[in-house]
Amino acid sequence: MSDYTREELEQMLIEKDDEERAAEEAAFTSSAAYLFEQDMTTTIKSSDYEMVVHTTTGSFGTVMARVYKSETQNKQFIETYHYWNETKDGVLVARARTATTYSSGSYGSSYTTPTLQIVGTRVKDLTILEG
Amino acid sequence: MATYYVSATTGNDSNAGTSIGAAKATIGAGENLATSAGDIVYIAPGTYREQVVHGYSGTAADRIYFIGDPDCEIFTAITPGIIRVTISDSDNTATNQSNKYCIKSNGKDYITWKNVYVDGGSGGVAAHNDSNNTYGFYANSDTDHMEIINCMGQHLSHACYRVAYVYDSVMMGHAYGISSGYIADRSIGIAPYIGISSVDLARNCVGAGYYCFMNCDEIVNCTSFGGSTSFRTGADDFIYDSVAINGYYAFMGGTSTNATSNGTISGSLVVMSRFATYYGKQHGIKIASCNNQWLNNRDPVIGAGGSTDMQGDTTYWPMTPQPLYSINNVRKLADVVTPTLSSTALRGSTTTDRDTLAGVTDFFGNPRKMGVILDRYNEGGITSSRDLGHAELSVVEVTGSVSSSQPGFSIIDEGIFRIPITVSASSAVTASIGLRHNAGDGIAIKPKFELRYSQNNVTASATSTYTTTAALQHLSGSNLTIQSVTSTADDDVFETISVSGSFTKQTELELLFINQQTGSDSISTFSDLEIT
Repeated sequence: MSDYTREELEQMLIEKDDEERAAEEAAFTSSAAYLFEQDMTTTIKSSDYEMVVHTTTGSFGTVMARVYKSETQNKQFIETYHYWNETKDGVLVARARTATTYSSGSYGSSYTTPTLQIVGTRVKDLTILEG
Repeated sequence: MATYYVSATTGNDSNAGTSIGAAKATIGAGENLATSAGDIVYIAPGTYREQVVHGYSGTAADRIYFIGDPDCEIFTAITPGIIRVTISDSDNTATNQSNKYCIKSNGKDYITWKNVYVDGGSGGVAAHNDSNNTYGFYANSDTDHMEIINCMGQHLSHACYRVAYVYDSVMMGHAYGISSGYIADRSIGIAPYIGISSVDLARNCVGAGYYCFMNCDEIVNCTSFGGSTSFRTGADDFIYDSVAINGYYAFMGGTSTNATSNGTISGSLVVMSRFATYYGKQHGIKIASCNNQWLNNRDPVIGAGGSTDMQGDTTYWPMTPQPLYSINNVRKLADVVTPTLSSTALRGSTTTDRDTLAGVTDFFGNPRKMGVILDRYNEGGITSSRDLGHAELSVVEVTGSVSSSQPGFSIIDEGIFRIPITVSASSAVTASIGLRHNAGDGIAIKPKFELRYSQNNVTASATSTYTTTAALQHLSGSNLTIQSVTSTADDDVFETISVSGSFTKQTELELLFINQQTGSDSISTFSDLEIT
């Protein structure tokens, strides 16, 4: 038999809940992805923030990558987008963004000019769901 | 300020996107056009299997708008339906999802989304485990000032994350419903972990989850359903005018007697919960049909039961009367976003120094105000008559036919009886009622009769008779009111009053029979209702 009363056990459970919640939040806010994003957001919010957009030259003008820079922060973040080619009746009608990859460097560092990243081809979903 | 168009079913990304006939096919392509403050992107019904990553900011004065058109008022040649943005696979399942976003602010500011549905697709545990965070609406920071109106998210770990302003939306996640941000208003957050979490101000919301509401700085006029902990405050958090229903721990102000780490819960009600209170600064808590007032002999009232280290000052354990819930209103959980209770269920008073934030009249005795509830952000607040929510039906007696001059039906004490009606396009409606206010002991505020838009109808499509500016087509509070007539007859004298309105398109409306009396034994009787 436990030496604890039911009430004491329940109170211990509450305190354990609190500990687990705090640990979960700490793990999230210390993750590499979170810290990278915070860093990038700081750059985007800086007063001398610049953005360079790389798009395809065809009629789609698909955004291949965006580069966010700040000279005062001496930082540069590159978002490269990955797309599905979407077809309708066998004809390419859309590019749907499916993922983003990130890289970073200092303000003046060079980077490889982005190219269009295509993960595959699929038929465009023409479904309209009713409300 | 330019307008662009996107249609999954009829568009093509090679189009210019500047007219309905030349719509883009993906939201991403439309987003890349809307580069200036004030730009609007209209989105047609359809399925958009893409992640929208914002690249451009609006301003506080001129946001960039992404507006779904579910009723096809703009895209008139397309079948009405949902504007669905999904990160699911083509078979609508969720695989290989890790840190994916349906819509991401990406550090860009002042962007508003309206009438859009987001989801992550269905899947098992592997698709939605803790290492695979998925987001519906995601802002990098509260300071991005992202706003969503009339949106819905589900099948995501975080349905809505760091969105600064969440209005009239429903967010269901498998971890969080609504998490972080400045304001959640008239919205619902449901999640097995936390329904509504870490919002600066949650008002008129419903939360459900293991924790229904967690660590919100200020919570007013909210309702929780179920949960291990219904309302959990952090240090200096403040909850008032709220209701916890069917929780295990209803109002948890903290986990110890340490006052500096505890929050304040004031003038609120616990219904059918196991433990009504648990530590914290509990002021004026009304307890109805609960299993225990507190856990482990921890009476939250300072001095009571020898608990001189507690910080509460008042709890009430009324034997009668209990608040009774209308079955139809509980069923319509989605409509239950303003959960003030009937005055017959609540009597008493509460005092905390922060009550001034919410007006001079407290929750227990009377409605705080049949008017404005102050908003500390001064962003308009709630300008409506106070909606009495799910327990609004204090007592309604249908005592006979309404075909004769009396008795009709009566509302005893403060309460509202609501009848939904629908009018067709290009139609007018007039409703008249015979109304008699019976003298009682209470304060003599005459009853009134109102015609208003249904709260379900705050989308652009339903309210476009109000304004032709799409970005402004968002009604709430008193803006819903079309006509409100207060009785002027003497007590015990029948008076016929009517309300009317005309509408260019089919519109959902409500007729409200309101007894504003706040004293005891006050009765308003209604009969001879005619709707033409």
